[in-house]
Amino acid sequence: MEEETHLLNRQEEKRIMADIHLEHVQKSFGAVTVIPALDLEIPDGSFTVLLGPSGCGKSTILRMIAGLEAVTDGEIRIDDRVVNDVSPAERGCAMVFQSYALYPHKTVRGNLSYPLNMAKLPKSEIADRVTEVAGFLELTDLLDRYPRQLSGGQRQRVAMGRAMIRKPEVLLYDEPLSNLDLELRVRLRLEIAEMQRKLKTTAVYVTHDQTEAMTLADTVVVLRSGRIEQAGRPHDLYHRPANIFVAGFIGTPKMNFFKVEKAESKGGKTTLTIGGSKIVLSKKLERDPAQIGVRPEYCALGKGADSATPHVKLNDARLVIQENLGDRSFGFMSSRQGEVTYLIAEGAEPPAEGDQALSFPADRVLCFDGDGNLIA
Amino acid sequence: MNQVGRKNPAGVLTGVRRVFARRTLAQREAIAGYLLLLPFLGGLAVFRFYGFFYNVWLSFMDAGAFGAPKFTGLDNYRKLISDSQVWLSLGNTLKFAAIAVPGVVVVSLLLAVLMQYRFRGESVFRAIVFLPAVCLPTALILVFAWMFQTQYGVVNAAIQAIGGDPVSWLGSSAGVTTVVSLLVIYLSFSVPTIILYAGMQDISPDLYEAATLDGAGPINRFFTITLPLLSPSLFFVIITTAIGTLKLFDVVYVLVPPIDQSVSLNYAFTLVYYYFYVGFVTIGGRGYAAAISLFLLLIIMVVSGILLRMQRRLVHYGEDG
Repeated sequence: MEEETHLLNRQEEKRIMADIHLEHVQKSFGAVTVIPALDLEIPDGSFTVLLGPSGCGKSTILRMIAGLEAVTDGEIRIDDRVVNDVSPAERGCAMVFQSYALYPHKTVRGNLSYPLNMAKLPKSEIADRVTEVAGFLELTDLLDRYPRQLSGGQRQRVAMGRAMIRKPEVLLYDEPLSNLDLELRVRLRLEIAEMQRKLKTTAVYVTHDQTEAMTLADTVVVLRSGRIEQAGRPHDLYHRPANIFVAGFIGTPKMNFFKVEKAESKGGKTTLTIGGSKIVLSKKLERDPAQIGVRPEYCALGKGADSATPHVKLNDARLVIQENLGDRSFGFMSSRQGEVTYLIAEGAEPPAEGDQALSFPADRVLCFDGDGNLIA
Repeated sequence: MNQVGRKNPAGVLTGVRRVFARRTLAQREAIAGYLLLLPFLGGLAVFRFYGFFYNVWLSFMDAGAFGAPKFTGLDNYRKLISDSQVWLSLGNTLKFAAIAVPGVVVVSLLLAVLMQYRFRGESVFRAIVFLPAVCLPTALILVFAWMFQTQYGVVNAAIQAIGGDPVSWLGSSAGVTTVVSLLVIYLSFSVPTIILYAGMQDISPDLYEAATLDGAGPINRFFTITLPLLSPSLFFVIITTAIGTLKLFDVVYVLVPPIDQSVSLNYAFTLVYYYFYVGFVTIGGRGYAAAISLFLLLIIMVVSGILLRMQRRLVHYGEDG
């Protein structure tokens, strides 16, 4: 514990502002533009997660910050220094790779001390720091082992140790947990969160796993085709998604969407016609919604407790599959109104095939306009 | 008809099936495996093992060109130990190897590194790199011989053009050593280059990126990542080149032929050349030549043994090794 505080104190001493600014950053590979124009601010000491489906350019952004990939146009600043033409080694970034990228011919000690050797630190200081970091990450007993003698989780911890031993201004994580099994992933996720809380180093973390993003991030940046769809706190992303893409991408099971056929606003109330059903929302909308979305956990089968509860008719509904998650179960149902997912009430019998109704609280309804942007 | 019937292949097949039928799967696979190996083992037995044991037998004989060999016990080996020409040949052989092996390693490493880069004319470059491997060695040796010819050679012409004195390349020990080493390097770097290039392709780009972020420049990356991870390939190149050079014959034989009395064979004698000289140029030395060839075997085993010992300390085998 003492060692730990020692390390943290030193980290504190050395810490300099390291906010990252990306201004109009563009990246093309030949004729293919991966990132059209990206503006992003990552505040000092924050944990920012870049989240998106594969091929959305999230790793490319990370690699551009690291300097492993050149910027086609625009500007990257770390701590107000333009780093476009600064070599990777001089940017003050350390990176944890998905493949761990441990040096297979070096022991854990050799891996940890490598960046310090390259920085030509005195031998005694290198030894001190290796001891500290190994203690911090519980690697002390493994120092003389080779990477091939370590488990996946241990390897990833060594990779983290090698990244933090230099006391970098910025820590970059490139899908660091993707190669691990679920149990380890959960444990290391907690460890990363814990480490981040102690080190307070600016961190950028790339993942396609939304659970990782939601649990780790101060700010989640949702990307699609090299563009930012939304950047915000995990809670906001979940409950106030900026558009249909984010609403559909975040959350499992996926959000239910319904087409709005007609919308009428009258006296602070809005009446929506959906699949022949009328839903009354007690708010006035600026624009007419084209679609509404409701998360499955707020949806239940039946018309609801009272007549004020909105519900949608489902014609020719059929329960396709029931997914039991232990604490709760979801039903996946097909109908003429489309596929819907709902929370199965405890002890409920599987519904009969035929016409059904899906009800949900009015305040859980999200309205999107014709362009897919959130209205209310 | 009856005889043909007995030999018919279907009958043989039935026999084979019967042999197979009563065995376990593992046994059947073992039998099949050995059957597949048989042609190769047969060739090995006839052309290698028979030759080797005949050679061992011959080394205890006094065998001239004519007549039956006479048993002489260890005479040939006694003669070998006191024969200054043998030690001179061994010295030359080791000297050539000591220069040529590091030469081949350095040249092929450099070429393999260059091959990593994309540049204009890279396919021409690759062709040039592989040219020595597909050319007739004797032709290349003759080209070198002409280039280093004392009076009319292009090398001496170049030396004279910049104001130097012509060198008698094949008339001095240092000259022969230089030309032979250059030739051996030139004749042998192609395949090692390909092996090292392939080895470099196997190193994960992530490691280079990690090292770059860890502050390693190109030189440091080469010495701390490429070289250690290439060590299995490097070791293979070193040991095969070393054995190849210890068996050196064609280069010295074509460069300094035994009939050419104008230059001293002593500069050019390698163990194999001396073996050839004793066994096939002079008369009556076949038994003694056999002893020399076994002496060379001993030398190769000693050198390989030393290299194998070094390998344990210096070579890192793969991630899961």
